[in-house]
Amino acid sequence: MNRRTFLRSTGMAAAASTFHIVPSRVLGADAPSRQVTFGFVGTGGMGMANIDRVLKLRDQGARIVAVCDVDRFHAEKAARRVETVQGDRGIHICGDFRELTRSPRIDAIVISTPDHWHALPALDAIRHGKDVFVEKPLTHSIREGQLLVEELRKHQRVGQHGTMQRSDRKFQYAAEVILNGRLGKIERIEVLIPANNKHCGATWKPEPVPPGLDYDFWLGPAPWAPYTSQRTHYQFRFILDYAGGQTTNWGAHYIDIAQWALDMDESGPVEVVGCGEFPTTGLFTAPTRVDFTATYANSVRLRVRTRTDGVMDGNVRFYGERGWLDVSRSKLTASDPALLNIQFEPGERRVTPSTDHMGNFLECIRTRQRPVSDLAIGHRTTTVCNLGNIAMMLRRPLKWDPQHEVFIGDEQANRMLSRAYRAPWSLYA
Amino acid sequence: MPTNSELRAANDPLRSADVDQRMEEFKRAPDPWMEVARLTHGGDRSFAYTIQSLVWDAAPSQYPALEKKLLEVLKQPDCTDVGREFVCHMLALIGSEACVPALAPWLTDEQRSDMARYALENIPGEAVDRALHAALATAQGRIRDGLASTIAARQRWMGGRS
Repeated sequence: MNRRTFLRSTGMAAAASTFHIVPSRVLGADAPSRQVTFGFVGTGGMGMANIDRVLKLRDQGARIVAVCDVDRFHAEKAARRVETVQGDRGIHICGDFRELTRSPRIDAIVISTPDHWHALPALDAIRHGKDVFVEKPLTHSIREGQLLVEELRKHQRVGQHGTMQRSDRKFQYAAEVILNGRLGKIERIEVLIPANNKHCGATWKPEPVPPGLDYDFWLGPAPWAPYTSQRTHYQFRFILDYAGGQTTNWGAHYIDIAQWALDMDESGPVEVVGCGEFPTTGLFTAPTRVDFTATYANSVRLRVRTRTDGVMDGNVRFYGERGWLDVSRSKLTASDPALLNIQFEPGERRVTPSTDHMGNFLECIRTRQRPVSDLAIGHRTTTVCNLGNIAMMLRRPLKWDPQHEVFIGDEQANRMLSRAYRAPWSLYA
Repeated sequence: MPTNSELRAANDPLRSADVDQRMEEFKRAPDPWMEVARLTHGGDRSFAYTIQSLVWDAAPSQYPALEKKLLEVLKQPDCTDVGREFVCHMLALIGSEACVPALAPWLTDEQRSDMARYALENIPGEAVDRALHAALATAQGRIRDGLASTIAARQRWMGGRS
């Protein structure tokens, strides 16, 4: 079934639907006191993956009651999926996130939109008393991240960042090895991230907006530009108006592990320098070759580069006095096999042993504890990614003050910390 | 890591050419400052990238001269809206209060208000603040929302100067 026929077949039901989220107490066997109601903003690829993660938690009281996407095709598909698995009807479908973020019947919002659409719904949700799960990278700009963390704390909400490698035992082990000094003093860290997996030509042509896509809403706070198919779903991440390329896409995962292991969850590097390559024409603008080095106050150098072997995964390798340790999603390797099976002593630092990232979010909604990827942690990780992009653009060493979150002595770099929003969108309540 | 000059030399397509060949090539090349005014959605943006690189690489002492060149692009009669918007994004990085006379009238223009804010939101100075508040006093609807957002951003991040 193609987009057009799908929309035609679901159109009547969509037109008839009104905003009525069925209260959790009538939705099933779960005791109301145990239920946590979820709304989803963004139901494309990552949104559907996150829907499945929440659906797996339904026996723990998680229930999805609403889905929102500016692409009606995505929203309808997500609703059908939820209704099929949950065995109920009445999932609310809409294209404006505010119907969810401002609904008194929703406890938590999961945001899986393109990156330029992370901060606005997250802030609106937090300001209206919702807990939030925000996909990585946390925000499109560093200023957005600062504001998001401030508001999260002010409103005492729970916020989980979608860096799910923190809920994987391999990465937890690597962090514990480094945090406990089992590799000795760390000298440097090498991160490899995948190259762009999509390419486009030197020029492009505007195309008609497909049926069901509210394109102006999709653009949201980004500058207006005509629709072309490669601008939106998935490929948006290679256009700097909406995302930061693979630097933020994969960097958010693997730089996050470096930050974690260095105990820099609330701080960051003090210097960054880069020499990436950017497309000189065409639709895509994000770097095609990433290469930057961030240096921390303790002199540890974190180098992030594009890998050239075609593998669609990253990895992070720590070099210390006692050898090296390398971790990726597929494997954990080391210069010495003994480094792969360290038995930690009582009193050594252990990280929270989460094995289910969404499950950890659900648990923290109930306990009001901070989740394993609290938004403040996500903000600091995303900041390093954005620092890398800025350094690659400016091609000169930049001094960063991680306490005040400003560049020292570089006015142009500081002006890259944020970008003005297209009206009527605003970050400021 | 290679130095900036080594990187540029490695990427120079004329690196093996002699001085005379380079001069001939230079004379044949269109002027990017003229070409950028004709920028269109979907068209070749390599000239814009050339100017973007100049802006990114510039030292602060070069900002006034670059700003002047960018403002001259806006005066070209055939300057497209895409070209204007590109210039505004560059002015956001290196512009000064010298932009205000050119951009303030745009703040209440339906087609150009966003462009003007893309530049002015990041430019410090009381002249910018005055222009934004003056525009806010008469603006309506969507334009007013945008101006209020820019003023709030400046208050938040520029120490209440706005």
